[in-house]
Amino acid sequence: MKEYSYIVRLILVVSCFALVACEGIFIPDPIDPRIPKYTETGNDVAGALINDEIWESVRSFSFPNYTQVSTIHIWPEKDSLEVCFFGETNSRSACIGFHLTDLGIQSFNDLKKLEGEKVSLDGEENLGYYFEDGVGGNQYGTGQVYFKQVLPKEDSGIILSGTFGFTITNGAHKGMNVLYGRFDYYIDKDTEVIIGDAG
Amino acid sequence: MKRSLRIFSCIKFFLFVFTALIMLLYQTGNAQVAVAISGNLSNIRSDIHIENKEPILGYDVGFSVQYYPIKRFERLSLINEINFRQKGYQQSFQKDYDFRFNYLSFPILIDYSLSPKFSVHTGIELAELVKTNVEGGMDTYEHFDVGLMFGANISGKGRLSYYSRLTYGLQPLLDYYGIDERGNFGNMIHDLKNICLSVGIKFNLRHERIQLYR
Repeated sequence: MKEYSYIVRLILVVSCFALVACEGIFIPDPIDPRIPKYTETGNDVAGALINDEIWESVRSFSFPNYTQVSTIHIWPEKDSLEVCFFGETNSRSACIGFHLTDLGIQSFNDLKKLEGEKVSLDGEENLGYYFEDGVGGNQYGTGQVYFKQVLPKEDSGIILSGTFGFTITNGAHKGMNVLYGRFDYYIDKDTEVIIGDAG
Repeated sequence: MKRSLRIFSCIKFFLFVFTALIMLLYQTGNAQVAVAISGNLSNIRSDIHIENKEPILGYDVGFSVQYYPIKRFERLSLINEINFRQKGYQQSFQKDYDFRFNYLSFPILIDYSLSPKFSVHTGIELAELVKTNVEGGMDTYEHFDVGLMFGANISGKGRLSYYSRLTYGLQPLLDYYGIDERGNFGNMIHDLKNICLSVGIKFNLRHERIQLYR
Protein backbone atom coordinates (compact mmCIF):
# COMPACT_ATOMS: atom_id res chain seq x y z
CA MET A 1 0.00 0.00 0.00
CA LYS A 2 2.84 2.32 0.95
CA GLU A 3 4.48 1.72 -2.43
CA TYR A 4 1.32 2.88 -4.21
CA SER A 5 1.23 6.09 -2.20
CA TYR A 6 4.80 6.83 -3.32
CA ILE A 7 3.80 6.23 -6.94
CA VAL A 8 0.80 8.56 -6.56
CA ARG A 9 3.03 11.24 -5.06
CA LEU A 10 5.54 10.79 -7.84
CA ILE A 11 2.81 11.20 -10.48
CA LEU A 12 1.58 14.35 -8.72
CA VAL A 13 5.08 15.84 -8.61
CA VAL A 14 5.73 15.00 -12.28
CA SER A 15 2.35 16.50 -13.22
CA CYS A 16 3.18 19.69 -11.34
CA PHE A 17 6.49 19.97 -13.17
CA ALA A 18 4.75 19.34 -16.49
CA LEU A 19 2.22 22.07 -15.66
CA VAL A 20 4.95 24.58 -14.92
CA ALA A 21 6.99 23.55 -17.95
CA CYS A 22 4.25 23.90 -20.54
CA GLU A 23 2.53 27.14 -19.56
CA GLY A 24 3.20 30.14 -21.73
CA ILE A 25 4.69 33.15 -19.99
CA PHE A 26 2.96 36.41 -20.83
CA ILE A 27 5.27 39.31 -19.94
CA PRO A 28 3.40 42.54 -20.71
CA ASP A 29 5.02 44.87 -23.19
CA PRO A 30 6.33 47.90 -21.27
CA ILE A 31 4.85 50.28 -23.83
CA ASP A 32 1.55 48.54 -24.58
CA PRO A 33 0.83 45.96 -21.85
CA ARG A 34 -2.04 44.41 -23.79
CA ILE A 35 0.45 42.59 -25.99
CA PRO A 36 3.44 40.51 -24.85
CA LYS A 37 6.89 41.99 -24.57
CA TYR A 38 9.23 40.97 -27.39
CA THR A 39 11.35 38.12 -26.03
CA GLU A 40 13.61 35.41 -27.46
CA THR A 41 13.37 32.80 -24.73
CA GLY A 42 10.63 30.46 -25.93
CA ASN A 43 7.90 31.88 -23.72
CA ASP A 44 5.25 30.24 -25.91
CA VAL A 45 3.38 33.46 -26.37
CA ALA A 46 2.38 35.81 -29.17
CA GLY A 47 0.19 38.87 -29.54
CA ALA A 48 -0.91 41.60 -31.91
CA LEU A 49 -3.34 44.45 -32.27
CA ILE A 50 -6.17 43.55 -34.66
CA ASN A 51 -7.73 46.90 -35.46
CA ASP A 52 -8.70 47.93 -31.89
CA GLU A 53 -8.81 44.42 -30.46
CA ILE A 54 -6.13 42.24 -28.97
CA TRP A 55 -5.16 38.90 -30.43
CA GLU A 56 -3.30 36.78 -27.91
CA SER A 57 -1.77 33.34 -28.05
CA VAL A 58 -0.49 31.78 -24.84
CA ARG A 59 0.17 28.09 -24.45
CA SER A 60 -1.92 26.66 -21.64
CA PHE A 61 -1.89 23.22 -20.12
CA SER A 62 -4.72 21.04 -18.87
CA PHE A 63 -3.63 17.49 -18.09
CA PRO A 64 -3.21 15.37 -20.18
CA ASN A 65 -3.34 17.82 -23.11
CA TYR A 66 -1.82 21.14 -23.87
CA THR A 67 -3.07 23.69 -26.33
CA GLN A 68 -1.28 23.79 -29.64
CA VAL A 69 -0.26 27.37 -30.29
CA SER A 70 1.81 27.00 -33.42
CA THR A 71 2.50 24.74 -36.39
CA ILE A 72 4.93 24.90 -39.25
CA HIS A 73 4.03 23.02 -42.41
CA ILE A 74 6.86 22.55 -44.93
CA TRP A 75 6.33 21.51 -48.57
CA PRO A 76 9.87 20.70 -49.79
CA GLU A 77 8.83 20.04 -53.40
CA LYS A 78 7.21 23.49 -53.68
CA ASP A 79 9.82 25.27 -51.57
CA SER A 80 7.07 26.76 -49.48
CA LEU A 81 6.02 26.75 -45.88
CA GLU A 82 3.11 27.82 -43.77
CA VAL A 83 3.54 29.16 -40.27
CA CYS A 84 0.37 29.29 -38.13
CA PHE A 85 -0.12 30.80 -34.69
CA PHE A 86 -3.31 29.89 -32.82
CA GLY A 87 -4.89 32.17 -30.26
CA GLU A 88 -7.94 34.21 -29.36
CA THR A 89 -9.35 37.64 -30.14
CA ASN A 90 -11.75 38.66 -27.38
CA SER A 91 -12.35 35.00 -26.51
CA ARG A 92 -13.04 34.12 -30.13
CA SER A 93 -10.81 31.44 -31.60
CA ALA A 94 -8.45 33.12 -34.06
CA CYS A 95 -5.41 32.13 -36.07
CA ILE A 96 -2.72 34.24 -37.70
CA GLY A 97 -0.63 32.66 -40.43
CA PHE A 98 1.87 33.21 -43.17
CA HIS A 99 2.34 31.40 -46.47
CA LEU A 100 5.94 31.84 -47.57
CA THR A 101 7.87 30.65 -50.62
CA ASP A 102 11.41 30.53 -52.02
CA LEU A 103 13.16 30.50 -48.66
CA GLY A 104 14.99 27.21 -49.28
CA ILE A 105 13.30 25.38 -46.41
CA GLN A 106 13.27 21.65 -47.15
CA SER A 107 13.41 20.14 -43.69
CA PHE A 108 13.17 20.92 -40.01
CA ASN A 109 16.90 21.63 -39.83
CA ASP A 110 16.52 24.21 -42.62
CA LEU A 111 14.34 26.35 -40.34
CA LYS A 112 17.59 27.80 -39.01
CA LYS A 113 17.85 29.58 -42.38
CA LEU A 114 14.93 31.75 -41.32
CA GLU A 115 17.07 33.56 -38.75
CA GLY A 116 17.26 37.23 -39.60
CA GLU A 117 14.86 36.84 -42.56
CA LYS A 118 12.62 39.83 -42.99
CA VAL A 119 10.05 38.55 -45.46
CA SER A 120 8.04 41.13 -47.33
CA LEU A 121 4.46 39.95 -47.70
CA ASP A 122 3.47 40.97 -51.22
CA GLY A 123 0.06 39.27 -51.12
CA GLU A 124 1.04 36.91 -53.94
CA GLU A 125 4.11 34.73 -53.35
CA ASN A 126 4.25 35.55 -49.68
CA LEU A 127 1.16 36.49 -47.76
CA GLY A 128 -0.33 36.84 -44.31
CA TYR A 129 -3.82 35.79 -43.23
CA TYR A 130 -6.20 35.89 -40.30
CA PHE A 131 -8.97 33.43 -39.51
CA GLU A 132 -11.54 34.00 -36.79
CA ASP A 133 -13.88 31.16 -35.77
CA GLY A 134 -12.86 29.49 -39.02
CA VAL A 135 -13.93 32.48 -41.13
CA GLY A 136 -11.38 33.99 -43.45
CA GLY A 137 -11.42 32.51 -46.93
CA ASN A 138 -8.60 33.22 -49.35
CA GLN A 139 -6.71 36.22 -48.09
CA TYR A 140 -3.75 38.14 -49.37
CA GLY A 141 -2.35 40.08 -46.46
CA THR A 142 0.46 42.45 -47.34
CA GLY A 143 3.11 43.65 -44.94
CA GLN A 144 6.00 41.91 -43.26
CA VAL A 145 7.04 39.01 -41.06
CA TYR A 146 10.47 39.09 -39.43
CA PHE A 147 12.08 35.94 -38.02
CA LYS A 148 14.55 37.74 -35.82
CA GLN A 149 15.91 34.70 -34.03
CA VAL A 150 15.80 30.96 -34.66
CA LEU A 151 17.55 29.09 -31.89
CA PRO A 152 17.91 25.28 -32.17
CA LYS A 153 17.58 23.45 -28.86
CA GLU A 154 19.25 20.20 -27.94
CA ASP A 155 15.93 18.46 -27.30
CA SER A 156 14.76 18.41 -30.95
CA GLY A 157 13.04 21.75 -30.98
CA ILE A 158 13.69 25.37 -31.86
CA ILE A 159 12.86 28.72 -30.36
CA LEU A 160 11.30 30.90 -33.01
CA SER A 161 11.04 34.61 -32.21
CA GLY A 162 10.06 37.56 -34.32
CA THR A 163 7.59 40.22 -35.28
CA PHE A 164 4.93 40.85 -37.90
CA GLY A 165 2.50 43.41 -39.21
CA PHE A 166 0.23 43.27 -42.22
CA THR A 167 -3.01 44.48 -43.75
CA ILE A 168 -5.61 42.20 -45.28
CA THR A 169 -6.56 43.47 -48.69
CA ASN A 170 -9.46 41.21 -49.62
CA GLY A 171 -12.06 38.72 -48.38
CA ALA A 172 -14.08 38.63 -45.18
CA HIS A 173 -11.51 40.62 -43.22
CA LYS A 174 -10.70 43.17 -45.91
CA GLY A 175 -9.11 46.30 -44.47
CA MET A 176 -8.14 44.60 -41.23
CA ASN A 177 -4.81 45.73 -39.79
CA VAL A 178 -2.73 43.22 -37.88
CA LEU A 179 -0.13 45.41 -36.19
CA TYR A 180 2.61 45.28 -33.56
CA GLY A 181 2.68 41.47 -33.82
CA ARG A 182 5.34 39.52 -31.98
CA PHE A 183 5.89 35.83 -31.25
CA ASP A 184 8.21 33.75 -29.12
CA TYR A 185 7.49 30.02 -29.40
CA TYR A 186 9.20 26.80 -28.61
CA ILE A 187 8.50 24.66 -31.69
CA ASP A 188 8.65 20.92 -31.11
CA LYS A 189 10.01 19.00 -34.10
CA ASP A 190 7.77 15.95 -33.57
CA THR A 191 4.44 17.56 -32.81
CA GLU A 192 4.49 21.01 -34.37
CA VAL A 193 6.36 20.59 -37.63
CA ILE A 194 4.78 18.78 -40.59
CA ILE A 195 6.80 17.88 -43.69
CA GLY A 196 5.01 17.35 -47.01
CA ASP A 197 1.39 16.48 -47.63
CA ALA A 198 1.47 13.34 -45.47
CA GLY A 199 1.06 15.47 -42.33
CA MET B 1 24.00 37.16 -11.18
CA LYS B 2 26.60 39.91 -11.37
CA ARG B 3 23.86 42.50 -11.31
CA SER B 4 22.31 40.95 -8.19
CA LEU B 5 25.68 41.00 -6.47
CA ARG B 6 26.16 44.63 -7.41
CA ILE B 7 22.75 45.56 -5.99
CA PHE B 8 23.38 43.55 -2.85
CA SER B 9 26.76 45.25 -2.37
CA CYS B 10 25.21 48.66 -2.95
CA ILE B 11 22.44 48.02 -0.42
CA LYS B 12 24.94 46.66 2.09
CA PHE B 13 27.12 49.74 1.63
CA PHE B 14 24.26 52.16 2.21
CA LEU B 15 22.99 50.19 5.20
CA PHE B 16 26.48 50.23 6.67
CA VAL B 17 26.89 53.98 6.14
CA PHE B 18 23.44 54.68 7.53
CA THR B 19 23.90 52.50 10.60
CA ALA B 20 27.38 53.90 11.24
CA LEU B 21 26.04 57.42 10.95
CA ILE B 22 23.27 56.79 13.47
CA MET B 23 25.67 55.14 15.93
CA LEU B 24 28.22 57.94 15.56
CA LEU B 25 25.65 60.63 16.06
CA TYR B 26 24.13 58.91 19.06
CA GLN B 27 27.62 58.81 20.55
CA THR B 28 28.70 62.34 19.82
CA GLY B 29 25.60 64.42 20.01
CA ASN B 30 21.90 64.51 20.51
CA ALA B 31 20.26 62.53 17.80
CA GLN B 32 17.34 63.70 15.74
CA VAL B 33 16.29 60.37 14.36
CA ALA B 34 12.80 59.93 12.97
CA VAL B 35 10.48 57.33 11.59
CA ALA B 36 8.64 58.53 8.49
CA ILE B 37 5.59 57.21 6.72
CA SER B 38 3.81 58.75 3.77
CA GLY B 39 1.41 58.15 0.95
CA ASN B 40 2.40 59.10 -2.55
CA LEU B 41 0.99 59.78 -5.96
CA SER B 42 3.39 58.58 -8.61
CA ASN B 43 3.57 58.49 -12.37
CA ILE B 44 6.17 58.42 -15.14
CA ARG B 45 7.42 60.99 -17.60
CA SER B 46 8.31 59.81 -21.08
CA ASP B 47 9.38 61.05 -24.47
CA ILE B 48 7.63 58.18 -26.22
CA HIS B 49 3.85 58.06 -26.17
CA ILE B 50 2.53 55.82 -23.41
CA GLU B 51 -1.15 55.33 -24.08
CA ASN B 52 -3.75 55.97 -21.34
CA LYS B 53 -1.11 56.56 -18.68
CA GLU B 54 -2.41 57.39 -15.20
CA PRO B 55 -0.89 57.93 -11.74
CA ILE B 56 -1.19 55.40 -8.94
CA LEU B 57 -1.15 55.61 -5.16
CA GLY B 58 1.89 54.20 -3.39
CA TYR B 59 3.63 54.56 -0.07
CA ASP B 60 6.97 55.30 1.60
CA VAL B 61 8.21 53.97 4.94
CA GLY B 62 11.59 54.67 6.45
CA PHE B 63 14.00 56.26 8.88
CA SER B 64 15.76 59.60 8.74
CA VAL B 65 18.68 61.21 10.52
CA GLN B 66 19.01 64.99 10.59
CA TYR B 67 22.17 66.74 11.72
CA TYR B 68 23.60 70.26 11.75
CA PRO B 69 27.16 70.24 10.46
CA ILE B 70 28.12 73.94 10.40
CA LYS B 71 28.02 76.21 13.45
CA ARG B 72 27.81 79.43 11.45
CA PHE B 73 24.77 78.19 9.58
CA GLU B 74 22.50 76.85 12.27
CA ARG B 75 19.52 76.95 9.99
CA LEU B 76 21.21 74.54 7.64
CA SER B 77 21.07 70.80 8.23
CA LEU B 78 21.62 67.55 6.38
CA ILE B 79 19.11 64.75 6.22
CA ASN B 80 20.00 61.15 5.38
CA GLU B 81 17.22 58.66 4.97
CA ILE B 82 16.61 55.05 4.19
CA ASN B 83 13.16 54.39 2.76
CA PHE B 84 11.16 51.60 1.27
CA ARG B 85 9.20 53.28 -1.52
CA GLN B 86 6.57 52.09 -3.90
CA LYS B 87 6.28 54.08 -7.11
CA GLY B 88 4.84 53.37 -10.53
CA TYR B 89 1.98 54.09 -12.89
CA GLN B 90 -0.88 52.39 -14.63
CA GLN B 91 -2.29 52.13 -18.12
CA SER B 92 -6.06 51.89 -18.42
CA PHE B 93 -7.63 50.08 -21.32
CA GLN B 94 -10.52 47.63 -20.96
CA LYS B 95 -8.69 46.65 -17.82
CA ASP B 96 -6.06 48.44 -15.75
CA TYR B 97 -2.43 47.41 -15.98
CA ASP B 98 -0.49 48.39 -12.84
CA PHE B 99 3.27 48.85 -12.98
CA ARG B 100 4.49 49.00 -9.38
CA PHE B 101 8.15 49.32 -8.50
CA ASN B 102 9.41 48.85 -4.97
CA TYR B 103 12.64 50.67 -4.23
CA LEU B 104 15.06 50.86 -1.36
CA SER B 105 15.95 54.51 -1.50
CA PHE B 106 18.66 56.63 0.09
CA PRO B 107 17.87 60.35 -0.11
CA ILE B 108 20.60 62.84 0.82
CA LEU B 109 19.02 66.22 1.48
CA ILE B 110 19.98 69.73 2.53
CA ASP B 111 17.38 71.32 4.78
CA TYR B 112 17.03 75.04 5.45
CA SER B 113 14.85 76.34 8.29
CA LEU B 114 12.90 79.43 7.28
CA SER B 115 11.39 79.56 10.77
CA PRO B 116 11.47 77.32 13.85
CA LYS B 117 8.36 75.56 12.56
CA PHE B 118 8.99 75.47 8.82
CA SER B 119 11.83 74.31 6.62
CA VAL B 120 12.45 73.49 2.99
CA HIS B 121 14.80 70.84 1.64
CA THR B 122 16.32 69.63 -1.58
CA GLY B 123 18.75 66.93 -2.61
CA ILE B 124 19.13 63.70 -4.49
CA GLU B 125 17.67 60.27 -4.12
CA LEU B 126 19.63 57.13 -4.95
CA ALA B 127 17.41 54.09 -5.20
CA GLU B 128 17.63 50.40 -6.01
CA LEU B 129 14.72 48.49 -7.47
CA VAL B 130 14.13 45.50 -5.20
CA LYS B 131 10.82 44.18 -6.49
CA THR B 132 8.10 44.80 -9.06
CA ASN B 133 4.67 43.34 -9.72
CA VAL B 134 5.46 43.09 -13.45
CA GLU B 135 6.05 39.53 -14.63
CA GLY B 136 9.72 39.33 -15.58
CA GLY B 137 10.02 43.00 -14.68
CA MET B 138 13.40 42.73 -12.99
CA ASP B 139 14.82 41.93 -16.43
CA THR B 140 12.88 44.67 -18.19
CA TYR B 141 13.57 47.69 -16.00
CA GLU B 142 16.72 49.40 -14.77
CA HIS B 143 17.54 48.56 -11.18
CA PHE B 144 19.22 51.83 -10.27
CA ASP B 145 17.32 55.10 -10.11
CA VAL B 146 18.42 58.66 -9.39
CA GLY B 147 16.12 61.57 -8.73
CA LEU B 148 16.03 65.15 -7.54
CA MET B 149 14.01 65.89 -4.44
CA PHE B 150 12.30 69.08 -3.36
CA GLY B 151 10.20 69.35 -0.22
CA ALA B 152 8.99 71.16 2.83
CA ASN B 153 8.60 70.24 6.48
CA ILE B 154 6.23 71.67 9.11
CA SER B 155 6.82 70.89 12.78
CA GLY B 156 3.72 69.79 14.60
CA LYS B 157 2.96 69.15 18.22
CA GLY B 158 5.55 67.29 20.25
CA ARG B 159 7.54 64.83 18.22
CA LEU B 160 5.38 64.96 15.12
CA SER B 161 6.14 66.82 11.95
CA TYR B 162 4.54 66.80 8.51
CA TYR B 163 6.28 66.85 5.19
CA SER B 164 5.63 66.93 1.51
CA ARG B 165 8.15 66.02 -1.15
CA LEU B 166 8.42 65.86 -4.91
CA THR B 167 10.80 63.33 -6.45
CA TYR B 168 11.79 64.03 -10.04
CA GLY B 169 13.43 60.98 -11.59
CA LEU B 170 16.46 61.54 -13.82
CA GLN B 171 17.35 57.98 -14.75
CA PRO B 172 15.45 56.17 -17.53
CA LEU B 173 13.80 53.03 -16.15
CA LEU B 174 13.37 51.27 -19.43
CA ASP B 175 15.81 49.89 -21.98
CA TYR B 176 13.73 48.27 -24.65
CA TYR B 177 13.46 47.72 -28.37
CA GLY B 178 11.79 50.36 -30.48
CA ILE B 179 9.49 48.26 -32.67
CA ASP B 180 7.23 49.84 -35.26
CA GLU B 181 3.76 48.62 -36.22
CA ARG B 182 5.10 46.38 -39.00
CA GLY B 183 7.70 44.81 -36.74
CA ASN B 184 10.85 46.71 -37.74
CA PHE B 185 13.38 47.24 -34.98
CA GLY B 186 14.60 50.81 -34.58
CA ASN B 187 16.86 52.40 -32.01
CA MET B 188 16.76 51.16 -28.44
CA ILE B 189 14.39 53.12 -26.22
CA HIS B 190 15.88 54.59 -23.04
CA ASP B 191 12.88 56.21 -21.45
CA LEU B 192 10.30 56.33 -18.64
CA LYS B 193 11.34 58.41 -15.63
CA ASN B 194 9.68 58.38 -12.23
CA ILE B 195 7.87 61.37 -10.80
CA CYS B 196 6.36 61.14 -7.36
CA LEU B 197 4.63 63.45 -4.86
CA SER B 198 4.63 62.29 -1.23
CA VAL B 199 2.77 63.65 1.80
CA GLY B 200 3.59 62.16 5.17
CA ILE B 201 4.27 62.26 8.86
CA LYS B 202 7.55 62.04 10.72
CA PHE B 203 7.79 60.90 14.30
CA ASN B 204 11.02 61.93 15.99
CA LEU B 205 12.48 59.13 18.07
CA ARG B 206 15.07 61.56 19.46
CA HIS B 207 13.89 65.11 19.41
CA GLU B 208 17.11 66.99 20.05
CA ARG B 209 19.30 68.46 17.38
CA ILE B 210 22.46 66.75 16.34
CA GLN B 211 25.35 69.18 16.11
CA LEU B 212 28.61 68.00 14.61
CA TYR B 213 30.53 70.98 16.02
CA ARG B 214 31.41 71.81 19.65
